[in-house]
Amino acid sequence: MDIISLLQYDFVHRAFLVGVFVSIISGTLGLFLVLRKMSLLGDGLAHVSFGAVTLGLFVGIYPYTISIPLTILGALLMVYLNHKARVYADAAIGVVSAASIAAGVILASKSKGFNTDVMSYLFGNILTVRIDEVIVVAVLALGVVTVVIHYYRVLFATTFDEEYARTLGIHTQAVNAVLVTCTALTIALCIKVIGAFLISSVLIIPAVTALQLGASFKRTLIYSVCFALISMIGGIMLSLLTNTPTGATIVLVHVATLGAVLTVMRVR
Amino acid sequence: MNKKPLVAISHLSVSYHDQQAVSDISFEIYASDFVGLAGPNGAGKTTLLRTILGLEKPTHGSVSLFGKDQKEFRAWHTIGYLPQQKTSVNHLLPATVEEVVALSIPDSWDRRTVRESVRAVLNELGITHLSHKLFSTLSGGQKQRALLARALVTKPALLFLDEPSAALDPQARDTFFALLKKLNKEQGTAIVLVTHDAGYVGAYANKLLYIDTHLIYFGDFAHFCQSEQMNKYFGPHDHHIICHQHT
Repeated sequence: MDIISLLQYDFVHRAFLVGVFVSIISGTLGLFLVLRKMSLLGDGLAHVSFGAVTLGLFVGIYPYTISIPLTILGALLMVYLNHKARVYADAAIGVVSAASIAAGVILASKSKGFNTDVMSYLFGNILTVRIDEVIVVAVLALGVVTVVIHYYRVLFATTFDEEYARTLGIHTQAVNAVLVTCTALTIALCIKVIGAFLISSVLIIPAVTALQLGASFKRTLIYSVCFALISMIGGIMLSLLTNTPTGATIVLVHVATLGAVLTVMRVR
Repeated sequence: MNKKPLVAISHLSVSYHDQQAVSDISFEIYASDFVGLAGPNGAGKTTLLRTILGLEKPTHGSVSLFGKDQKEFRAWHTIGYLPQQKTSVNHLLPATVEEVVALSIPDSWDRRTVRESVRAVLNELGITHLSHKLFSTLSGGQKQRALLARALVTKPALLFLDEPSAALDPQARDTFFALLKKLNKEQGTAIVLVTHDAGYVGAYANKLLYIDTHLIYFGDFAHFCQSEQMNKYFGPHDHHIICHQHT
């Protein structure tokens, strides 16, 4: 089947639509995460979210109902361990994510027949997204963009020089809490689309690609969103054409885009 | 004196893990003061500065800024701060000099004023040509001037500088200090300059704040140089070294 015929299906429209919204979120949040050396946060929170989804399936309630608050809680626990209990940030992420995934595995092993559902959250499938899920991700994208535009200077100042930002009267811990909460929400709402295993790469790679261009911060932020959009749309199209798993194809297109930009920058 | 102090420190002590870094220090800083904050390594100079700026919590005592208790103080843009070169800047972040300078400006300023203020301060410091360059690609001296522009862009009434001359060559250092002197004389900006070299700052500062965990001396530089007590405390040689550039 060619791409024109595929474009007539509603599930394809929904996939592209949710892909656009996920890209806007990942391109924006990802840059702040990468620059604040919090790249691993996405990975850790995806594990927390996976554990929470498994718990939801185990007790028989809609997984998002439980995964959203638990993922936010996990994110704040990581921040708490880092700031108050003097645990290094990467170690705090490791502790919380390992505990969550272990709990998820135990719950899955005790379950009767929801292992197929669990697999769909591990690897994601953008082609099975429902319209209500598209709306939820669109609202999240709007929220993230609004926060970044409204608090642009605060986020930028905190990312450039956290200590100096404090001397400007900026509550940097609150900024960090907002950033990790937005990331937690993104992960919790998007693992069905991309999958727990792959979502952190979608958050990180567009930002890393944009950083290769050596532009100003504002432009880098715009480039990051653009690379996220190009790779997401390209990935969905390629997976439809080649009939490969969509989440994995999207990630590989992200990696290919990074590779292409690295090559071009080196040649220049 | 009828003037209100810009900074009023009262019996301030700061400890880290039961180790006293600053002990029972009191002093006041007024508009047009140019204070050299000096002392040996580990004397608590940077800790004192960081406590005034709200980066460290006092164990005892109080800090008052522009007549307000530090906890209630909100007009942070009226205070400029140039941290030590090696501190917390994220060199990974691809920000232009213009973007770095503008980050000190409160959100309440309109875009045009922000643009004009950034242009004016870059021009004043002679680094307009760097405005579109990435901060991470600048030399040590250029970075220092960009960070000074960041501290000055809001035209603060009070400016704190922590070992500002460390990254500068002698010529750039003289230009830098001449600029501070001009700000102090012409705009009445109060300046507190942390240095381990009290002798060097003697050419510019009119007051000396010398600490060694506790307060050793605070007052006019001229008075310090005439003080028999200080002569005895430092010994004639060191006292002369500190004072020889002060006129």
